Amino acid sequence: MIFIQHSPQLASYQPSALVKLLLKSFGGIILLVGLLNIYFSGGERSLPFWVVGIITALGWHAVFGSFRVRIDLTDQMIELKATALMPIFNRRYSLVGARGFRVVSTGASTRPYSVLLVTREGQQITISNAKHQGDAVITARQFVEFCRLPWVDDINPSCSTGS
Amino acid sequence: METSINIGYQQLPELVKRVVRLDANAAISFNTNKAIIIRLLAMFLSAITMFTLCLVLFSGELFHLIFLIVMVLGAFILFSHSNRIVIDPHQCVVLRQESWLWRSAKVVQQQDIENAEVVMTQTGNKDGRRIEVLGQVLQFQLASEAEALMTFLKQQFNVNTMEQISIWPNKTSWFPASDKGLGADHEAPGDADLPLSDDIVPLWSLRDKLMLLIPVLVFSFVAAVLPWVRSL
Repeated sequence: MIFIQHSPQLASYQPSALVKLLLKSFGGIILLVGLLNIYFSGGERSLPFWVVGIITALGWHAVFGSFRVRIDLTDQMIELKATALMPIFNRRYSLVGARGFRVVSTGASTRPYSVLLVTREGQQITISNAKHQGDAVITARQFVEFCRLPWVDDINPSCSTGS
Repeated sequence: METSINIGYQQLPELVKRVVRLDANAAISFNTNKAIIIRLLAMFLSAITMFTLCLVLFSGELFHLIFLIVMVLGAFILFSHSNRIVIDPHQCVVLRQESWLWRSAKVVQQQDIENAEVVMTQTGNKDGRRIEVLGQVLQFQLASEAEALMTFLKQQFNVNTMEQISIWPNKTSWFPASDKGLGADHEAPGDADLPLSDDIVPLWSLRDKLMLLIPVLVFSFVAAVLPWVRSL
């Protein structure tokens, strides 16, 4: 995931073009295999229908799935959107009066560090998850600099020096 | 303005918050009766779909399959329906929005906030209250819940609140019992002093993860049904 600044007012946080290309080409092969399995399903040596369903869905998500965070300073909104040719979620939060960003360790096994947006009301919204603390801090710093919002006092002392 | 609406909304009773939703733009909305009926119908169709699926798998008649496809399509279309009353403080309007198949919502009915009336009436139950907005009715078991919502609407959106209880059937203006309530509360403490919420909103909620399973179910279904269709 990379932070791209399109203009002084607009930025997005999304997978890089190379990652997208690799994912979609590899996913396309899986999707093709899944669709062929569906077409030839019912034969003696064909896979169980639920296995075919999982394989095809994996390919589907790899090809059509997308997730991005979009920041529009003109509207003072941050939008988190995930789709896979169908809406999965689309959440919008106001940046007006937001207290800033912070990095926390959530204790998750795969991606334990989260970048959070702290709204004016004190609500904490996860913007991104990272495997390493350094990556989360870099991401949070990019959000902080673009949105011109402060760091919120952090549970990780090393992060609080970021601003 | 958005902040005070957010704070006011957080102070509403839990049951009211379950019915009335607040979005990121500080607009509040609730489902109309039509939306609730269509959602119930969609659930009913889903139950029939499950039953038909069992029939298709065990009996395997063409009629059942066609019926199943019709039911699935019907349930899908009905689940995609949305019909909501929205009170938008930015545009200063109360509107009824309708959408099908998750397309952008179409405004069916619209009224300026100054002209819109929110009328509270009594239900058959002595303590029960009904709140009517743009012809749509919200029912509450407790008068305190209805009054909390009326207070919220009056103080945050400056809606013309009326009641039809004290000198029924005539309507009279309704004002919050105490103006010190929400209005004073949200101005007194600075917003920055509010404590951080303990709950962290995750990137992927359980609902979002379940949404990812839809293609698995659809493709599994197609892979299961296709050989059977070919054998007909």
